[in-house]
Amino acid sequence: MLAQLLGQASEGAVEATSDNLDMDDHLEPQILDRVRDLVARVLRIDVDRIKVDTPIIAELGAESIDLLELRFFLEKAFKVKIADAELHDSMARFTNEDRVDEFCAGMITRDIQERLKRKEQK
Amino acid sequence: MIGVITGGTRGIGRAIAERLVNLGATKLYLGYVRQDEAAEACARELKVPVELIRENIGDPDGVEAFADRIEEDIDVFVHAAALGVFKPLLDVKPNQWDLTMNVCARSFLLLLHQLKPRLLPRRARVVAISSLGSTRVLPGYGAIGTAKAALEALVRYAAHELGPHGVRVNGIAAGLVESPVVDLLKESGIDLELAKTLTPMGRLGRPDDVARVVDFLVGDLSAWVCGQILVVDGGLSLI
Repeated sequence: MLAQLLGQASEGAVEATSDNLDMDDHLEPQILDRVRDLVARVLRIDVDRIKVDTPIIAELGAESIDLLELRFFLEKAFKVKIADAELHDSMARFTNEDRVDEFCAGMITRDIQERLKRKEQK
Repeated sequence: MIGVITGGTRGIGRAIAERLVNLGATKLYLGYVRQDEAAEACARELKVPVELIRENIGDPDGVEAFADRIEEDIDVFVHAAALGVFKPLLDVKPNQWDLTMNVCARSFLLLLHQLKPRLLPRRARVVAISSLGSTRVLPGYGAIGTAKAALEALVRYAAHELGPHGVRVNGIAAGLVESPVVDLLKESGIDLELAKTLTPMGRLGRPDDVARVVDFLVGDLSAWVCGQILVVDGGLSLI
């Protein structure tokens, strides 16, 4: 979902949904904390408000431009490339569906972990 | 001719890139942050070597990384990058304001800092792309309009400081130009059909309408034009 929200879904990208996001499994605390910091920085809110599963759009009110800025921060912090950002289309798609509730720091963390893993394997 | 264009792979920036190729550019550096495929297609289609630079110039580190990629002295530098939030000004959040100002205006200043050693040797011509929203009110355009006003002020001050070095800095305030941005303006409540009716030239602008004026501003015909913002809007602002 991150790829869809922050850019195009590249081949092999994680398709994270609430159905397959296991918050207790595979999330690196250091990466999660960094992600939470970045979300807090973008939204100018206290990091304590951002739990692993706090909906970033539905509850914290992130908008398309905020997600674009988050993409910039994530790319810089983790030295990964999150390709293309058709954010307006993505926002329209997700805000028109119930799935908007699923987008959270845990999902971003898992996506970043996958990206880092793929990068390491190259 | 070596050309550098921020926001150079789509819309007005892309049209400017094509103009620079026609003017004899031998290499172009094109900045972008969105739509990788469009950027790669642009690089393929232009008939000169193109270096794509994917950096967030709203961030000082991104500006430095952008400047570090440029290997030659510069003849033409065009700042066409723009990014911002379309919403009523009183709904704009602090981070959204900062991002808009940083990408549209501050990046121009920081790029001038970084690129100055590359601009002086060849007495570069610098053009910043602004919009009518800097001086006119457009619905939902308050943050970007303010950033564009700052950009225009930067043009004047930079022209004053760089003019003695032979570097001319000018700007263009573009009217409603057919582009993805216009679609956003439409969503913000601008009646494009009415705008066409009110425009003496009877149509929206095309990206090349603006690029042609860049052509003028980077050439010898504008040698005595310095620190000016040329309005290119089909006459819409007369109304």
